[in-house]
Amino acid sequence: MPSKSALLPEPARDEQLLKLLADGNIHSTARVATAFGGETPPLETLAVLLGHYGVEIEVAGDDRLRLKHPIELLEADRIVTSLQRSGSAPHRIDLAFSIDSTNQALIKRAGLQDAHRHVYLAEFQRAGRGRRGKAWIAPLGSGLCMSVAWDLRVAPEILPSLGLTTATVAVRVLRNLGIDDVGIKWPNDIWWKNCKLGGILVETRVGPHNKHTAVAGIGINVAFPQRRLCEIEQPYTDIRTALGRGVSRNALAAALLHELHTAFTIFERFGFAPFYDECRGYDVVYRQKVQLSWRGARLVGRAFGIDPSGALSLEMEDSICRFESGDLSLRLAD
Amino acid sequence: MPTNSLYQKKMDIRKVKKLIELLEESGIAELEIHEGEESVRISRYRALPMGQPFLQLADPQLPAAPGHAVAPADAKPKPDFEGHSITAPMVGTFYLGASPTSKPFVEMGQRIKRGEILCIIEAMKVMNQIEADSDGTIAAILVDNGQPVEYDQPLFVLKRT
Repeated sequence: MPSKSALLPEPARDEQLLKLLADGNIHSTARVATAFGGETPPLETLAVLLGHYGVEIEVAGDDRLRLKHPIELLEADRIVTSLQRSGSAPHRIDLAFSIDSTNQALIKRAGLQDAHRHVYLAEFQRAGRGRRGKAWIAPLGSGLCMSVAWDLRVAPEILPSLGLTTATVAVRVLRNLGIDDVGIKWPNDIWWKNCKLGGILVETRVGPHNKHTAVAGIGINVAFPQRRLCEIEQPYTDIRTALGRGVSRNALAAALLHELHTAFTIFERFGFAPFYDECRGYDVVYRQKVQLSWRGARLVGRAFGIDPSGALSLEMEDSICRFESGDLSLRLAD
Repeated sequence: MPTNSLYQKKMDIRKVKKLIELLEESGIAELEIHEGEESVRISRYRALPMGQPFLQLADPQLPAAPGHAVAPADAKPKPDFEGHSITAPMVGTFYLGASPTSKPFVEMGQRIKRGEILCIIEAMKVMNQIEADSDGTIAAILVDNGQPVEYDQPLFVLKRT
């Protein structure tokens, strides 16, 4: 193996390496040699390699190191076991160590085979992107990144409200954890005190005869290293900050999957209506001064709430308009 | 607030002619094309009242453009064309590719299979990939990338092969 401090990421090996180090205890470089075919890697090689995943190490004497922040790795078995009791276990659960996008993986699968109730989780999502195209990475293990595929027999025009339905469920789970002020920033962001705590991305395959497959992707920041939070040009926060303590990512995944299972079953029969009141209660921009980027125009007004179809109403100078699309930003009081 | 009209703007006349031919052939009642700030709506039945905005550019509270609902009973289109139009199953923004940089899902003249993705309609940040409902060849793409579409608006003409 090369002795220079330049090893390219290699998921299978790096997963093994992370498993050895995840507990955050001090380990010798010799301990991780098994991941490198028996050869002990130099400390700097490890530092650079783990840096690819946004994971930082601390050197603890000669050839000894530990992770700066211990990582609770995801375990599909644990998630499935806790869901089996409630009858909401997924039909299939895949756990990728490193992936471009869990949504992409599932939507691709949905085009080829039955993907109903398949779940995709990733430790590390490579395609993370910050504002203004500036690349940044969510460090491995710092968040939850999960997608769920669901077959729906519904009229296609209600599919756009599945994004708000998913956001409503995610906020409900976070409130159950004890994060009281968490809410929805229309249409697909999860906000806590003017900071982004997570986001929803729903993609669907719309087929004929009302037969569709939806893939609901949920990303939630669980525990970001503080320095990383500052690097992102957007007000970000994580569960650890909002709650004052960390949470188990496996438990969070199970709680979300359980609620989503019920929600999608209800959505298929009744659409967005059963979620509407709850969703409105989570609306963090209601009556706030906002700016909406809409088809190249910047519209300023006061948010006037979400309507039963999921569209946002905006009160402008002398009219109230509703919008099905657009990027919403909160304006500072002026 | 821009009010576009076919007569005021310089949309390529050959293109318009082609669109009219397409309409004749296809059995579509009406089609609307947007190109940047310009738009043209061609209808079999009656001209749009003068001065009506075609495009709800900065005025979303306007009711849906008129001309949709009223069609004289004696002017039914003849379904003599072996193609059919694929219409928007929802209101939203039409995209030909998965992202601004990726290539379009389909192109003119391309043969496609039932179930293949034709386009994306985005609404409330939900990305809806629209599948083809039958095999065929793309005979027309009726909406430009990034343009808003209304429910039931024709998006493609698919010619059975």
